[in-house]
Amino acid sequence: MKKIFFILTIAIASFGQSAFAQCSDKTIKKLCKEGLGTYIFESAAFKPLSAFGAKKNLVEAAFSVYSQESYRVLNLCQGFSDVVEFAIYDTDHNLLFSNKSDKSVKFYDFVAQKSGDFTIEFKIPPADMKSTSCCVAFAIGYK
Amino acid sequence: MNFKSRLATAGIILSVAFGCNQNTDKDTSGLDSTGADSSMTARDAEAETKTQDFIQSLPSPIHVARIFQRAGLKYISGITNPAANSSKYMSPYSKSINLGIYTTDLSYCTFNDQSQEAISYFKAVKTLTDGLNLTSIFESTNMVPRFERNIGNKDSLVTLMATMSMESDILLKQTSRLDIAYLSFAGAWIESAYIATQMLKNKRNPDILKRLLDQNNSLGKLIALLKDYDDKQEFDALIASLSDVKTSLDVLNSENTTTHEEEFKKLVTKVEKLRNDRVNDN
Repeated sequence: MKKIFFILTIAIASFGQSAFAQCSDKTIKKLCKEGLGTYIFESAAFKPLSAFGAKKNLVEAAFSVYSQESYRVLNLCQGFSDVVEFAIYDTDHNLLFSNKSDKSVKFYDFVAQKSGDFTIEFKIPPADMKSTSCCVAFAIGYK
Repeated sequence: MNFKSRLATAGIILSVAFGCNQNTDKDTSGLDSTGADSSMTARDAEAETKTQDFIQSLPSPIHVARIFQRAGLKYISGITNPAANSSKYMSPYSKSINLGIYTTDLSYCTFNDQSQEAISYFKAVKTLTDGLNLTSIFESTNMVPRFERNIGNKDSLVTLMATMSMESDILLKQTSRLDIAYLSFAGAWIESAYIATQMLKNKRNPDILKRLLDQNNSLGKLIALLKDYDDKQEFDALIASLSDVKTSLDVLNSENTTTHEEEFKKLVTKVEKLRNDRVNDN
């Protein structure tokens, strides 16, 4: 009885930690360092999926670019049942990239043709829409 | 162990486990000791929900300094805010703005191989981050000794600045201290515009001018983000001054070039006043 009580307590505590850990600063920093490679950190954005509301199936963010500069956009979404599909649009909202055909691709490198705002879209897998442990996150690097 | 004791043990384990994250946030945010009002966090959350799904992403001041340097912005001795001023900034507002100003000065000196000055600015940035209770940015990576050890190695210094930028960006977002993030970006924006306009007023370089005009986009975003705090007098004054600068940049970005020379002189004057007021604000 004593053992069961202890194991149950530790299990509940561990579950709580892993749910928080998905969007923790330590996790995001670790993923940035691993994923940016030779690119220099520009910025990161991260939020638990639950922060967007239960019915949100498309999450959108904008980021600034300068013409002729080289960038890497890094998909850092964590805790989903499947790899999150993401797409990148240029300043005129033309689709530049999507990992739809190969979801294992987690980053996109490009040279901006014009200064302005690019958009990144994340398509949330339907199975995860009510999840409390998923984190929507991305980072931008430059050279 | 009776049931009450087991319950107490379980309670302690659970509170430690779940409390860790909350304590981490509280410790690193330190809102109470910076004097920032407690409504700021709630306001930050509201600001986040207003702007699309994520808050607007602003460019890194270090990257902006790099872009200006690539365009030909050279080092001008004495143009930056003296690092010794860092100890005179007392309010969270002036500390936040001058943190951004010093970040640009640090980048400007590093990219122009002014290593000794760069060390002074690195320390000035640390003084202000400590003053804003953002100590963990430097402590977690033992950054100051590493910066000193790498003097003369520009690539290593840039890597360290990027680490500092990442620690700062992620910490401020994790702890919802967006007021500091926006003010710091404002300071960095103002300082880079100041250095660029000071150079341009003596010698016109079309590449630097183009990069200066490119800053209009991030300025527009910044003004929109600052408007969530416009009930505070100092934010309101800053927004008014930045908007005035944006008016000039709008004209200079327009196709009608007949008024450009006159408008450029206005821009130089506006940026000088905006920057000098913030540098001299304690």
